[in-house]
Amino acid sequence: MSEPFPSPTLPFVSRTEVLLGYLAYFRSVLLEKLDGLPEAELRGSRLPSGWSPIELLRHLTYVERRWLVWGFEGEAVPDPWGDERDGRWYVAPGETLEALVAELATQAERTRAVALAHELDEVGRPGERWDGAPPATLERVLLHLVQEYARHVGHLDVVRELVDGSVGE
Amino acid sequence: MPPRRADVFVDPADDPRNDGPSPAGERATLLDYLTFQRQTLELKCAGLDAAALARRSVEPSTMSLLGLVRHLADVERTWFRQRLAGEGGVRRFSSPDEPDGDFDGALPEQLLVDEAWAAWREEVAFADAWVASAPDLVRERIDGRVGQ
Repeated sequence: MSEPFPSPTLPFVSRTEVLLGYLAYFRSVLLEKLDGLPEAELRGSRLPSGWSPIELLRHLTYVERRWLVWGFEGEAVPDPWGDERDGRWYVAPGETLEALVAELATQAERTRAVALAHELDEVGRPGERWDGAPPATLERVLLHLVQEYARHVGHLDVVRELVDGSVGE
Repeated sequence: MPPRRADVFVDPADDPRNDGPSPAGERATLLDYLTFQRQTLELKCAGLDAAALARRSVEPSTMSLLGLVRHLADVERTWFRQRLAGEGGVRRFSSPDEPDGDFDGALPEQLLVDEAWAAWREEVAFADAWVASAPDLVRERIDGRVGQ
């Protein structure tokens, strides 16, 4: 069951909820596009750049964690770049889709809690995430996540179409 | 062996997109994101001829870079000119009879490429001008104050 598309005419109680609405929508599309992929497609690549759909799922979980937990909240995160190995996205053969989906769901709850605990113009805590730059506002971080999801889910749209011809939002 | 991620990204020194400090304020922030996305479209299309721009590189999808330019020209047009500014009019590259005309009609012809970019630039310029003038219009509607 997908989340509703946060159409511009759909009422939301706050700008934070609009941005969270987009994230919830993109996560649900991500899971729909992954659903039913054969193992070989889930862990293989259709494109010369070599990324696999299951790696994309883990990448997006880590992207949320890096920006909101490690970055904005300034918390210590074990292995913040754990979605990569040797400069590439990585998922070990024994790791299941179910486990990675559950990890995304847990992170999604955390993302929502962080977003709702701060004002959009609040600035994040200092830390390594910012690479020496001044910490960003919550608004900038959430917008970054929205564009990151939109672009990656678009990549997955293409891959899914290549696998079995299924298209659509 | 697939390439490492760092090897598939443009060299930061050659990246024309703004990587400067974050602007302050919601409007400037949103415009900054929109500009970045628009520049990304230009970057992805740079240096390609009409045949490459119109190539359906992930068949069976009808998607092509030229189709995307046409599509996004109409997206800008629909949201800014038709809806926000209330000017009405019709889409340039699709219609109720040909809802996928923006992608289906993206043929490898230089005239079509030029037309698509001209349309996109015109709609982007309209959108930027509309966004810049929106506070003026809002104030004028409230109490008639204009100028400055």
